[in-house]
Parts: sequence; structure tokens; C-alpha cells
Amino acid sequence: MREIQALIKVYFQYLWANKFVFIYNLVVPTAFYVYRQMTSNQPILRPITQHMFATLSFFWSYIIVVTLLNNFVVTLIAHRELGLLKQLFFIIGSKMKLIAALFFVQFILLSIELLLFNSVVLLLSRQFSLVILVTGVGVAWLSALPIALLCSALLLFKIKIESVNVLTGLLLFGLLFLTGLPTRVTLHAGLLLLNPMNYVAEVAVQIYSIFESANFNPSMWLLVLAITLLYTGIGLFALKRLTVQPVASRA
Amino acid sequence: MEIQNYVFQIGKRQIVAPRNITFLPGKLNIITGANGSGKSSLLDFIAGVGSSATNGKKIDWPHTRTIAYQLQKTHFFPNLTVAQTIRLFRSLSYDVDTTEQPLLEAAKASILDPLASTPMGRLSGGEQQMVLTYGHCLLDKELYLFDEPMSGVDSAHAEVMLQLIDQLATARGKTVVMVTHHVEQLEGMAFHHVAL
Repeated sequence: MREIQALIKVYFQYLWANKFVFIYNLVVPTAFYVYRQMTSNQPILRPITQHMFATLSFFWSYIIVVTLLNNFVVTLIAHRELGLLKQLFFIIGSKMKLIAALFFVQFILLSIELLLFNSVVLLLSRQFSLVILVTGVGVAWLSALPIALLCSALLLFKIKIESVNVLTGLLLFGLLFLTGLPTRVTLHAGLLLLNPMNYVAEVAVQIYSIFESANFNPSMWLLVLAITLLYTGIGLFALKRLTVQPVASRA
Repeated sequence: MEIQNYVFQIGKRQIVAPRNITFLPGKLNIITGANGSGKSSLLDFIAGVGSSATNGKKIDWPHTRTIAYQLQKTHFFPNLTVAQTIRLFRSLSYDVDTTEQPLLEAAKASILDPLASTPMGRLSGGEQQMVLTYGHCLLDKELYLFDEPMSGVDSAHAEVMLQLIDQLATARGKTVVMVTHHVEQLEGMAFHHVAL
């Protein structure tokens, strides 16, 4: 536990020194949301409807997936290829403690990011909604671990540090593109949830449905649970095979 | 501690022919050899993270969890200052024995304190090595591996750092295995020599 606490402190310091990530993770989606609202035909001051909530949930998806992809998985890949993962492993003595500390920091970061984003959304519509605030943080809490585990599948590949940002950029573009597919070409709900963007949005909708009991759908919860188990299985497989040695270069 | 039938082979090229290698527990052991002779690969094998190119049977070996390993080249968190880096090691360290304190304090005062507020990324290679060597000497492990810890370190500072490493064996009874190109720097120290 002492090792995890020490690492958490270091990762917070590391995060604070790399504030640029907040632009990509938080400022960009917030600015885009504000721009959308400003240029929309709808009045800004309107109650949050289910349709608005659906839009909101995709912004949450973006924030969660981008944060975990860039700050968790890309960090692990960079650390591995630079030899830092190996160095830290022999200081701490456990690969899993390193991963747990890094994930915990991103988990806290995500909760703060979603709280800030939702505060801007509510300020913009000049209303207070505890449901939105609670659902936002709840989505982070429920989906962060499965998404981090799924994204860990990237650790299975020999990715050079020079190409990791291009690759994650392309991946995000692909995921966002799939999210925006028109309804007529969309597939079965279960297949859609294989896209982590859709998965997070669906988790958001399901949490929201707890508050709006009329829309509560137990079969959808079961489907989400099945996909969660799949993501967990993929992630555990990848993390078990994670080597501390650089795989794409000699450190 | 022994490795029986140690071999290092890349494809058909045999870099280290099968041989037994012995390390003395509780002593300073050094590994020397020409560039590309497999020194770092041997350290990786000792640490339990060797590639499939290395093989051998380890006898009386500590668990990987109890091994400290300072690499030859690391990009340690470049944004952390020297003080923050040492704080990380200190938070994981043992209660320093008073017999060791003078040397640790002297090394800290003369080498680390002037650099305390400097980010690791702005240090020279030699300075980074000194910070990490000092940090590793604070850890409480069974086996300590150092891969050319004095590369890029000037001779005056190297002497202090080598004393710190030697102290792990002489004062704390830990097993130390160090790769070096400069055996002459170890004058006056007792060590077991493995040549590749």
C-alpha cells in the first residue's frame, strides 16, 4: 500500500506538470459543447431533456475514452518503451501496483473533469440538476475500469513511441466515426456496445434511467454487464501479458 | 548464488557459450566485458526479465520482488525535481542505519542538494545516474543490480557513489552485482569479478 501511495503522489505531480492533456481531454469537448449550444436553433435556457441527455452522454464518452487512452494506456506504452516501466517495476516490486496507482490517478482526474464539464453545461443552461452531476460522476466510476482494461489491449502490440499518438488519433477518429453511423446501418445493440464510445453512452443512459424509472430496462443492464465482462477479460489478458521490457525498441 | 549453464545466443550467434556463473551473497560482485558481450542481458537474466535469448538454471535466487535494478539508461519522470525523486525513494526506503548515515548525508549534501529543485529532465546523464544510484541505495531489497552506474559521472563524484554502492554489501550485507567498464575505480574495495 505504501508503494501505491508513493506512486499516486508521483503520478499526480507528473500529471500536474503535463497540464496540456487537460486541453485535449476537457477544454476541447467543453468548448465544442458551448459552441454547439451557441449555434443551435434551440434556446440555450431550456430544461435538460432526454434528447439533450443523449447528446451529453457522448461528450462524457469522449472525455472518458480520450482520458484513459491518452493518460493511462499511452503513458504505459511510453513508460515501457523508455525503460521507465522496468525501472519502476524494480523500485516498487510489482507491475500491478504501478498499474493500480496510474489508474487511480486517472480515475480521480476523470471524476473532476466530468464534474467541471457538467458544471459548465448546467451554468450554460442556468439550472441546477443533481441528476446530471451524479450521473456524470457515476458514469466515470462505473465505466472507467472496463474502458481502461479494454484500451489495455493496445499493450499487446509492438507500438513504437513515435507512432503511438498517430495510432491513438486514428483509433479515436474510427470510434467517433462508428458512433455517428446513421441508424439504418447500425447493428444489433450488443455489437454497438463493442465500441467503447457507445458503451459509455449506454452506461450513462442506464444510470439516468434509474432516476427516470419509466425507462428502466433490465435486459439492457444485463447486456451492459456482459460487455463489461468481455472488456474485463480482454484487459486482464493484456495486462497479464504486459512485459516491463521495451518491445519495440531496446531501452 | 549460481547460474548453471548460462548461455546467451541470438539466432545462431553464440555471445556467451554455456558456462556456470557464481555470485557471492552479501558481497560486491562486478561484471566486466567488451561492448556487446552480453553484460546487460546477463543483468536482465539475473533480474528475471531476460529475453528468450538467455537461458540457464538459477540456484539460491531471491524473488524478483526483492531485487533493485538500476538501468543503464532511463528517462525517469523528467518533470519531477531531484528532491521529489529522492522523496519517492525515501518513501519506500528502510530506516537508515546510523553507521551509514554519514556517507548518505555527505553524498546528499555535496551532490543532490545543489540540484534539489532541478527537474530530472534537465540533468546531464551523469547527474541523473547519481540521483538514481543514491535513490536505489535507500531501498530495502535483497539483491541490488547496477548497470554501469558511473557512466558519465566524473571521477570525484564516482568515488562517493561507489562507496555508497559498496556500503550496501559491507554495512548491510546485501548482495550487489554491478556492471562496469572501469575496474580501476574500485581500488581498495573487495569484490568478486565475473568477466564475460
